[in-house]
Parts: sequence; structure tokens; C-alpha cells
Amino acid sequence: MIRISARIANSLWLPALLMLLWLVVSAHSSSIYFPPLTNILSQFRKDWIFANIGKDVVPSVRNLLLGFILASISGVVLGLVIGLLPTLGKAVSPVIHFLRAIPPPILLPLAAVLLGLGTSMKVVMIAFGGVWPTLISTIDATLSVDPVVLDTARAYHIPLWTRLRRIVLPQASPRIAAGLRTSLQLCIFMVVVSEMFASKGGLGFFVLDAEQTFAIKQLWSGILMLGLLGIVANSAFSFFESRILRWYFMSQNK
Amino acid sequence: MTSTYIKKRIRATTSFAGIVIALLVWVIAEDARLLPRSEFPSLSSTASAFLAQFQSASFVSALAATLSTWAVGLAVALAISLLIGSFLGSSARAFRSSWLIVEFLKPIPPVALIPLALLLYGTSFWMPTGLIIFGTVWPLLVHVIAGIRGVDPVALDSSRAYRLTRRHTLRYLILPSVLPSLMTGLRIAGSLGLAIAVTAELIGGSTGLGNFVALDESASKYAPMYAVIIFTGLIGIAINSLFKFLSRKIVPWHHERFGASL
Amino acid sequence: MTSTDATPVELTATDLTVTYPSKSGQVNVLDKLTFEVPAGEIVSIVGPSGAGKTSLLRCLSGLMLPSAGRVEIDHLEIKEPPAGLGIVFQDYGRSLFPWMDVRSNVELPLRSMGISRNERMGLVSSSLAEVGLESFEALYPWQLSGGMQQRVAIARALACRPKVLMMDEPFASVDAQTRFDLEDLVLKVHSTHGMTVIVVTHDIDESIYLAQRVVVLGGKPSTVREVIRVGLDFPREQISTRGNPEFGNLRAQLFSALRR
Repeated sequence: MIRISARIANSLWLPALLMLLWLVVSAHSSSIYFPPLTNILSQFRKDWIFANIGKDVVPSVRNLLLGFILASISGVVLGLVIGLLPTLGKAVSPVIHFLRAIPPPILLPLAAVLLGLGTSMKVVMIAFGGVWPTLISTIDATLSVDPVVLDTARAYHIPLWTRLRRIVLPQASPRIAAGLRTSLQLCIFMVVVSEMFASKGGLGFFVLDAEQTFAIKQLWSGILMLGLLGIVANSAFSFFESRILRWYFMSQNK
Repeated sequence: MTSTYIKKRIRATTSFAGIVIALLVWVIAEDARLLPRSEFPSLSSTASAFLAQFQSASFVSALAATLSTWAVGLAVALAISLLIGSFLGSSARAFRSSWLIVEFLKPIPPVALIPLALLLYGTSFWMPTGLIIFGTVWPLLVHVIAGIRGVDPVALDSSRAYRLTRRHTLRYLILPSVLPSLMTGLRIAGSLGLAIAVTAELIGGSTGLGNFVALDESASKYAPMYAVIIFTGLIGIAINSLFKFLSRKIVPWHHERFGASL
Repeated sequence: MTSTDATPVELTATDLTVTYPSKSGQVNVLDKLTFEVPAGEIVSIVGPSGAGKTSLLRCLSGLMLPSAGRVEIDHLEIKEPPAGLGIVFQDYGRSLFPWMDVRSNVELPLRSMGISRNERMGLVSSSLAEVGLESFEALYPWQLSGGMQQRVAIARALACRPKVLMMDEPFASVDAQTRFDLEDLVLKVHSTHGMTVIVVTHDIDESIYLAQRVVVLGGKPSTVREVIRVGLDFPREQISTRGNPEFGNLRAQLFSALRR
């Protein structure tokens, strides 16, 4: 008991100190850009409990979920197909590397031309921005599945679908999960950017609008909310990952 | 020898065929009028717009602006993360006290700070550069710390048993152990930095390729818009290849030993 | 320096105890180990895996402080690795630096010792020649076989002209034939330089073949079960020495000490 609380104290003292420092130093701040923390927090309460939740938070979270799911499914499926068909992989690899190298935000003007400015464009761009790490790590993981295991499965005439589900996917899943984690970060990035680009709602719009109307306290409360969104999304991912990959983490700790 | 050579040739041919097919799809789609011509310029008009860009002074200055913010931002982030990372990586207590801060700040999307950066720096050089520093310092920091904590304990025992001087330990053990991880971090930070630069220009309106594309779009000049997007992709590839090349030069033992794939 | 015994003592371990913290409190690995290593002898320390042999060697070399008790080399208490120590680890792939070629690996400790360039050249070349690797100095460790890498590690130790050479399961990761060659290399090196050698091993035959004295560890936590003198003649030879009836007796004696 004592040891656990000592550990918590060990990792919490510095963050707590910094928060306190922010609170104290900013208390009598007269700078327009850095208002007192207490003002930011009361603004945060005004903005997010629960006034603008429906207008700004819900669309952001919905787009993030849809885009991330789209990126995950297409990344894993395409990655498995490419990983299992090496010749196809070689043929598409330059195209993949090219598309991956384009910084996704620069495609927003193009996407606006082709798909308009609605939700579907945003979701497609979020998925496009986030799909690459999942795709690449799925290809790599599929290629590195132990060939002896695959040969054994073929020798025993295990059907393709079972082979995929019981052999390839479990072996590849830790690396796919690592790719998904990076994908999630990029999806959040794209959520914010897509809402800042010719948009009328969402957290990205909220902070940019606050800047343009010189509403500094709203700007800070929006940034805090975005930070919170990032942290919550990451923690949720870690939670599901540790559930699904429990066997893997246990084998690693041995 | 010969068989790896042939394999390489086959690989190159297949890859080349992939590019050709992708371009063919474009041409066929264009011929069959599958796509609205105005919003989907032809391959030839895009190609000529591509070449025309290099004649245009505004394009060249946009390119220079993007690349310079990228390079300066990345360099500053590298310096910061080496400084902080070597401290956090070598002291278990410092690491424990601060990892929560890193874990909290890391997931904050750097683009969320675009409005703040606009407020503080307007559309000046430091608006995109500051954002790049904030965004790329995390992957770099995490990789520096991982590199230092990953120094092989047996190698460390050897250096202690043979009483290597501090300078020799740093130069011949710690630095080479950190480099592979640092190069990985640099590659991630490199493409992330480019994305942040382009976003800051696109949203914030500072000079650069992102802003260039936005202006083309609002003027409905689609062929040059495509050309610049393709060009940005090529820059992305160039940055990736640069770090891959540097990594092979700087940490060859890593590639020889582990055959690093990406 | 001369004690009452015929040969002076190089290293003494007194009541050496090592405990590690674990979830269920402290785990005792080594319990009050006491033994002596005479100067210029080869002493092997044998024990089953999990007996804390590596912890013991790390304490003897000063890489780790014991939880209790002390280690002395030349009557000085060891708190950190002393000068004049050569060390060879089981994991050659990790103890040699992969980013440096064979020559630089062997040379680095000498540079830290502040030895002049000319003298370094001579020491490195002669050490590499002694282990039979004079033509491999420009290669990188990972381009060599396991046995050759372990030769590099031995050359690195020899170049320092150590008074004490410590080896932690040095040949546990190489194939059987290479292992015999490396054992004979250690014997040759010892007869040339006459340094004190301490070899930690789990292999009973190896502990007898190499040593003049065997320290047997056993139990949980490990204690010194017995110290056995090996009277077999030098030079030793893989077939005749191992075929000697005395070798068989010693093996039986060791085996029962370990089993007890």
C-alpha cells in the first residue's frame, strides 16, 4: 500500500507542481494572450458543461470514430491482401509510398472540390490521413508471419479463412495494434485540420473562430478540450488494446 | 549475387509496372470522360503545369518557405529533445517524475495550437516553425529516451569492467546505441513536420506550399493545384529517402544486423 | 604478500550475500559465500542454472555491490571494477560493440587506459595473433561466427594484460567443437601469461578440465558446497585428460556435491 502511494507521489509531484505554477504565475497576468488559469477554467465550464457539447464536441468525436474505423478496416483488409500476395505488393508499393508521402492536409482543397464540404469529405480525409501506419504495419506483420507455421497449416489443408483468423491475424495483431495507435494520432490531427478548413462546426472550428474573433479565453478552453480529446482517445485505445492483446502482454512479461 | 540482382530487377520492373498502370488509369478515366474534366485535369495539362511551376517566382518562394520552416523547426526540436531526453533517459527518477507530463502533452494535436500560434506570431516565420517544434519534439523525445534506456546492459557492464572513461563511454557506447532509435524518431518527425508546415500554411495563410494550393483552389486553377500536390508528395518521398539514406550511412551495423525493413 | 600458504592469495570472498527485492519480499540468491582464489591459478565456479552465478561474478568483478560481505583483490576491497581486470561475458554479441571493427573493439579499453598509440598497436596485434584472428581485424563482430566473436572478447581481455581474468559462462553459446577449441585457448593463454583466471560455468566436465580448483555452489539460496582440488597434470589435452580415471573420480565427486 505504502509502496503504491509512494509510486503515485513519485510520478505526480512534478505535473502537480507545474499546474500550481501555471495557476500562481498566471493569477495576476495582464497579458492578453495568457489569461489567468482560473479564468480559462471558468470559461471551460461555461463552454463545455454543456453549452457547446452538441455543436462542437459531438461532430468532432463522431467524425473521429467514423474516420478511424474506416481507416482501421481498410488498412487491415488491404494490408492482409497485399501481405498475402507479394507480387501485388511490389506493384502497388510505389503508389502507396507516394500517397503516404503526401502530407494529407494539402489534399483538403482537392477533396473540397471533389466531395464538397460536408461530413463525408471530412470522414474520408480523416481516414485517408490515418490509414498509412495501419496499412504498412499490417503488410509488414503479414509478411513476417512464421513461414513454417504457414507451411504447416497448408500441409494440414486448413482452409484460407481459418488460416487468416487463427494464424495470421493473431500473430500479426501486436504490430497491427502498434500501427493503429499511430493511425489514431493522425486521425485526431486530421479531425482538427478538417474542421479548420472551410467548416462551421467542431472543435477545430471552435478554436480557429475564437482566434479570429479575438476571444482568447474561448481559445484556451478550446485547446484544453482538444488536449482532453486526444488524451481520452489514447487512453481508450490503450484500454481496448490491453483487453484484446492480453495474451501478448502476458507472454512479454515472462 | 546474380540471383539477388535478378530479384532486384524483377522487383524494380514490378514496381515500375505499378506506376505505369496508375498513370494509365488516369489517362483512360480521362478519355472515357468518367470524371468531370474541369475538376479532374488531364495528365498532360497537369504535367505541363508541373513544369511551369518552376518558372514561377511565387512557387519557388513558397517552396523555399516550406522547406526552411521545416528544417529549422526540426533542428530546434532535435536539439531540445536531445537535451531533455538525455537527462530524462539517464535518470530513472527524472523519468518517473516526468513521464506523465510527456504522456499528457504528446496526444495534444499540434494543429490545435494553430490559432494560438497565429495570435502570437501572425503569419510570420515563427508561426509554422513554432508549431513544428511543438509537434515534432514528442516523437523525437520518446525515441531519444527509448534509445538511452535501451543501451544494452551487457555492453554497459563491459564498458564499466574495462574502466572506459566517461568520454569514451559516451562516444563509443551511448551515442551509437541511441542513434538507430534517434534515426527512426527523425523519420517520423520529418514527415510529421512537413504535414504541420503545410497545415499551418493552409489554415493560417503564411507563405508556403499549403497556402499555394489553397490559393489555386479558390481561383479554380486545378491543373497547377494537382501539380503542387504531386510535388509535395515528391518532397515527402525525398524527405523519407533522405532519412533512410542517412540512417544507412550513420547506423550501418543496425541495418546489417537486423535487416531493418522500412 | 606471502601468506603462510605456498602461493599468495589473489582474491577472497568473505560472507558474500546477495538478495533481490521481489513481490513477496526479499529473495536470497547467494548466502554467505566464502572462498579464496590463489594467485596465478585457474579456479572454476560451478553450479546449476539459477544458482546466482552471474550475480556472483558481477560481485567479484565489482560491477555490483553485494548485499552483505566483501570481496578483496590483492587485499583491497572491491567496490568498482579494479584496474588489471579482464572480463569475458557469455553474450559475446552484446558485450562487443557492433559499430566498431574487431581491432577497435580490442583497442578501446587501452585508449581509456591512456596507453600510447604505438604501444596500443603492438598489444592489439599480439593479442589478436594469440587468439588466431590476426587477419580478421578489419571485420565487424557480427560478420564473425560465435566462436570467433568470443575469441575477440578474449583478445580484448588479453590486450589489457590483466592480472585477473574473469569469464562468465564463456562458452555456453557456442557449438561443442568450438567449445573444446576455446577451452584449450584459455589453457594456452594461462600458461603464457600466468594470470589468475576465474571461470563461471554450469558444465561439470568443463569446470574440471580447465581448473586447478573447483568451487561448487548448490542449494537455494546458493552456498559453497565444497572446494575441490583438481590434481590433473598440465598441459591438458581434450582426449587423454578427459579419459584419465582421475577425471572420472572428480566428476563423480562433483556430481554428488551438486546433488547433495
